[in-house]
Amino acid sequence: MIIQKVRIKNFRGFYGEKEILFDDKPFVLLSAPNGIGKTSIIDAIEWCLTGNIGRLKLAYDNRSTNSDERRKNLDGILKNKNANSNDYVEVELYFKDKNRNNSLLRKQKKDELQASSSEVTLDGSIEIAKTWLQENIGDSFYKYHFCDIQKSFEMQNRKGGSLPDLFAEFISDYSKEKIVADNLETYVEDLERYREDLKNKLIAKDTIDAYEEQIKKYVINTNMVDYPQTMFFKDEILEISQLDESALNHQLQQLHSYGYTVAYSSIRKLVIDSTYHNTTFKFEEIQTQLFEKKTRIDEAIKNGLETGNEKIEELSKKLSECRKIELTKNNIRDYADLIIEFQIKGFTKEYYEEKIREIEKKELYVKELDKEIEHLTKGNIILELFSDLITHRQEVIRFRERKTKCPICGSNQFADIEEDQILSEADAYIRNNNEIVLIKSSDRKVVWEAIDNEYEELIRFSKKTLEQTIADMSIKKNDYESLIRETATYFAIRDSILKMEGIDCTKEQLRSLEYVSEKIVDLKAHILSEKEKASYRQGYKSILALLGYKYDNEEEIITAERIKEQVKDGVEISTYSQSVFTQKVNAIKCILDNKDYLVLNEKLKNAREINAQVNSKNKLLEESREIAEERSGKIRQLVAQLEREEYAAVGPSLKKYYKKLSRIDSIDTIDIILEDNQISMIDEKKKNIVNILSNGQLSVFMLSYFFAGITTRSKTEKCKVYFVDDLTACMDDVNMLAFLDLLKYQMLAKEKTMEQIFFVTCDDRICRMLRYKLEGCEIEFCELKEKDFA
Amino acid sequence: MFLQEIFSKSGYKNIIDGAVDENVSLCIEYFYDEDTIPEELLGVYISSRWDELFLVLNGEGKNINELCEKWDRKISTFMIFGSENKKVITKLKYNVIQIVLYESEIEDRSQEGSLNISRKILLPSKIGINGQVNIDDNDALELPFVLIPPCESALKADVINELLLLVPAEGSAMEFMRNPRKRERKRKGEDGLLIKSFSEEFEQIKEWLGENDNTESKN
Repeated sequence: MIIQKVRIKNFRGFYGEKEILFDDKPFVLLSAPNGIGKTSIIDAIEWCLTGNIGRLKLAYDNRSTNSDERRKNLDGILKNKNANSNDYVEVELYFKDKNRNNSLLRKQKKDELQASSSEVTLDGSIEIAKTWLQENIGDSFYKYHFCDIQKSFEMQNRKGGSLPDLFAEFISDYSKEKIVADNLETYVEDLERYREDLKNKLIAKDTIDAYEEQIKKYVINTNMVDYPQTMFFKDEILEISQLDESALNHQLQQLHSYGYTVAYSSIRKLVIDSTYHNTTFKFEEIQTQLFEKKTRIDEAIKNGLETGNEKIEELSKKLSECRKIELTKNNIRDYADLIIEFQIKGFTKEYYEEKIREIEKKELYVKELDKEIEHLTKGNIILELFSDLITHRQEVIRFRERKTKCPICGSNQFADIEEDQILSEADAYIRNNNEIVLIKSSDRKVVWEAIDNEYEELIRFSKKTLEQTIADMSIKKNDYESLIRETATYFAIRDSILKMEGIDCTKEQLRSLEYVSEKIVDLKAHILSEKEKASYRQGYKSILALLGYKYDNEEEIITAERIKEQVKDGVEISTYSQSVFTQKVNAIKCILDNKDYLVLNEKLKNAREINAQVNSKNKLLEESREIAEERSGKIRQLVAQLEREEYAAVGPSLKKYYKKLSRIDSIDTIDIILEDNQISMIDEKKKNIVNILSNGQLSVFMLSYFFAGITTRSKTEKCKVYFVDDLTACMDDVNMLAFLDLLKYQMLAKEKTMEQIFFVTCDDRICRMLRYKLEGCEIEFCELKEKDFA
Repeated sequence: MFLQEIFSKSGYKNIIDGAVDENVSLCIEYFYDEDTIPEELLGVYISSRWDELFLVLNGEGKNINELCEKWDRKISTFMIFGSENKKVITKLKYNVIQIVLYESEIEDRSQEGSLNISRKILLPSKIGINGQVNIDDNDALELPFVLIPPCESALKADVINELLLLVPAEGSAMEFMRNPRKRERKRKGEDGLLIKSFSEEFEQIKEWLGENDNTESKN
């Protein structure tokens, strides 16, 4: 990461807007006299990244011991003194991270150092800024990235005993994790308070013992019936003294259901027995019918009479229709098919069709004659012409006197023929035509008479056939009626048997005398003896009497239906005993009738329930306590482990840097040890290092610690930008030269632990030396001088 | 570790061996005693950018102060007449370092604090028959260009992850657990029950612990 530019507005010494460019250089040397604003630049960068200024916060916290001081000391801590209260302080960082240019802007109106008072955006997004800052900057930015005079003075001014606190800043901040562990312990305290509250709710053992004692006495004194210990059904509670009124009623209800189940079992046997009786009776009747009328029954079945009067009604209907028929020449064709159906001897379909064909043939001939006659009489133009000529014969004769030629054929002989010969041919033609018409008319009359005769014969034969049919049908009807009357009883019984449930037989089987006889034997084998019936009847009646069942002059089958609803499915009744059942019902009723006993029992039950609930809650609280304690312990253990590891890792590095930077190395080893939340930094002789170092050495030591921290965190650190602010005051020339060399080589290293460094100094000698060193090894740098801060 | 290798790996060349660019044109004869290489001079190493010069001297059995002063004089002369290329001389001016090797313990290390003409670094070492200088790894770190390697496994990622799973995340519903809570003392409220520090969030914590516990059990 390389910071390219910073834009500052109303920040500390800078009024209005100011832009400082760092030219993408890995080394930024801020060299100017004091008070110009060098430190403010790096403060601005820190504030933009964290919302805080570590060195100022440290000093502010030290000098503000009460709220009044805190309020007064805030003035000008962030905002330029010339800016008004509505003006914003703004710092915008332009930086390159993973080859991407970004801009991070933080702004705030209040003049205070509280990260929550400012708004920060990365490339315009608050959310992106939040995530980026969390991942890249974290909570320890000032601790790891700054080495300033403030820290150096802090170290020099501290007494040996309090020094470890300062060194603790160089490891990760686990304060939040420690707070979580603290809070978990606070939660455990709360749990104990809840448990104490719960303890007060517990019913004392003495109270419960007293209830139990009173119940025992009550049972003895009132001669309560013992509840038999034979289990009748699943979930039955045999120790009923533990039950409250509701549970007792429930168990009584269960017992009732059980009783109904047993009673239903007996009564059902009786109902089934009754069914067997009825069925046997019906089969015996069928047997009698078959003995007496087997042939007639078969005949009735054969004629389809088993369904009753349908066949008779059909026959009657046909008979009535036949009687209504009056055959004529016009309707004979309509009834022809019906009459043919009767199949009376002679009147066959062939006969009828032959007759009809004859008639139709004749009728066709008559039609032809009609046509011929019509042709001869109507529409014959020659005939009409000849008739006209004959009618005007005198005019033709007179015409011959004037003309000699025939007007029709132009013959000259016309003038020579006799007068009576004129139109003689026309006259002959007319006479001849009339004779033909007379002959045809006569033929026509003869044919018509023949047709009438044919019809007459056909109708006569048809009538005879119809009458014969009517007579036959009447006889048949009488026969059927007789057959139905005789077999009606058989069919009625047969149909009732077929409708019976559980009787699995067919119509054909019920026509077999052999089958019916065998069936009767089989049915009789199932019928209960009188003794058995009496036993079942007594059994169910005694149960129902105990259960208070009220009869309503009903048959057993009705009783069975009524109690069926109370029956429990899947109940095993083989263990049933009338006396035990009676004793159980009575035992429960006896308790239910004793209200005092019930009250005592209720109290005991409530007490036990309360204690069970309290214990259950207590158990849950106890479980939660164990988890919380384990959690807080684990957090502390892991934090201690991490801190130990961090300190332990910093020690050797610190020693190496110290050795590199200090010309006089009086320490062989540096061990940083964490014990009981106290940090001790000791040498090989277990001496506190802080106590054996001079102030100057402490300053170098501080610088060593800065580099050791950077090296230690180099793999996890994402923002490798560091700030060194004027801490060379207590260092000698050798220290300084070693320090500058160290910086130089860090910047030149292939695997960089520092990607950019901001070096602040007002010492011109150091500036010159640094410039000389950087130029010598060709490290690019940007130098900001007094004029750049103006 | 051999000192010669350390220089070589870091890009330094021993100009006594003549292994230097002609453009640099250094007159190392100014380091000689009457045209011969002084017996204490084991090497003159120059950096690849010609901005640093390391004189490796065998100080064993010698008066360190006298040795250093002698070589300061030689360096001083070299800085005036050592090269016609003034640019090179300017770059080297404040970057000449005497590496004084010793085997036996040295009581007077005052030369280490002297920046007069050149910086001096006293290094414990063992010089082999073949001239190879054996040096301890930790001592090698005193050479300015030798970087201190990052500490390994300083922060264990698995332990950090385990810790993260045990504490509520920032911005989560349980964030209040990350803030200090005042502990209640043992006193009762109007209802006769003891006042709790987490009266409102108690169930929330219980649930969170339960959930977390189950998650851990599953894991």
